[in-house]
Amino acid sequence: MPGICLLAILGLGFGLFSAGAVFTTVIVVGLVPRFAGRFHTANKVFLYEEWVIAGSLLGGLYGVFHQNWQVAGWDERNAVLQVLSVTAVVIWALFTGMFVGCLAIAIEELLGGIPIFARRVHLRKGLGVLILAIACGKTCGSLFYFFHRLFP
Amino acid sequence: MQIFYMKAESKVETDRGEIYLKDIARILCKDSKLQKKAEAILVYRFPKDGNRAVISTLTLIEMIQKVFPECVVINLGECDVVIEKVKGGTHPVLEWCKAAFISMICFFGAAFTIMAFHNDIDINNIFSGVYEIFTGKESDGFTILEVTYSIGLAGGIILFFNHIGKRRITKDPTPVEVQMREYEGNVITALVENANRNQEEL
Repeated sequence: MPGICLLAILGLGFGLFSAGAVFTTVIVVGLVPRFAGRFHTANKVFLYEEWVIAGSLLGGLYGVFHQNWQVAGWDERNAVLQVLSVTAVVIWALFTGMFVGCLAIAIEELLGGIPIFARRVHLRKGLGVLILAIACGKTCGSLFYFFHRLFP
Repeated sequence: MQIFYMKAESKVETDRGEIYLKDIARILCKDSKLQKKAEAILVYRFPKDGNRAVISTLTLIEMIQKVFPECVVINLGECDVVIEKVKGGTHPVLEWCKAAFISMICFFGAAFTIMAFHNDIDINNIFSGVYEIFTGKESDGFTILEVTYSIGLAGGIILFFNHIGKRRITKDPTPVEVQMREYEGNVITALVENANRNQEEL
């Protein structure tokens, strides 16, 4: 019994610190205010915060319990289930990709890589093409990575 | 006694060798004749090999007071002006080449960083697990999940940066433009400070 109590307290402490580490990255970079500001919905920022918390909770639980989960299934006879599962996968992947892309750019922006770059070469026009090149580069790199199974 | 209002720029780029007051500051005076006379004051002449100078607005006020001994100059703009001499006219082919070169760096660099990131976070594990949760099938490494994820990457960046080539989604300056202006402001501050410390300010 005392062992379980100790484990519970330790778990709480570990979780608290991990949460701090994860959230610092997302918040310091200022992603959520940027998202809110872009579409002029700054009054709903608390809602976005809550969604971030919910997402992190789900992600944390996934790390431990994912082998026991099943959301949809692939039944060769049931076309509706197939469509549902593919839709779920597509929605999940699309939004995840969007966030990862924004996070990468925001961190790069924090360090000021792009403006310093452009200024050193006295770039006057073509800033839009630069951003498009980065976006295409990320997509092509990602597709290349998965297509050629570059993961270990 | 005349009152001049002066709004000095923070940085001026020009291709001429002689700088007049109207090139680096806006002058306002009730009497437009006096205004024109003040605007025509010669402020600085570039030496042969010089291409940058930092001028304090105190010097500018001094120059105005030499021409109009009884005047009051009120400065509403910057306190120091950085003047830079640039070669006039940019070659369009050169600009295009620079843009293409940097775009290539950004393209391959972004591709590489995202691949390294994926390796770091062991993304195959995560995607296999999620794919199994959602479909019950085993993932073979390259499914619709990975494809839509990659499309989402580009979508997020484009949405975030407000560019589709040249067109914009909203009228705000894009984050990169804001960052560039910020960086430019920092550079100007650094230039002014340097000139101050090296006693090179006119």
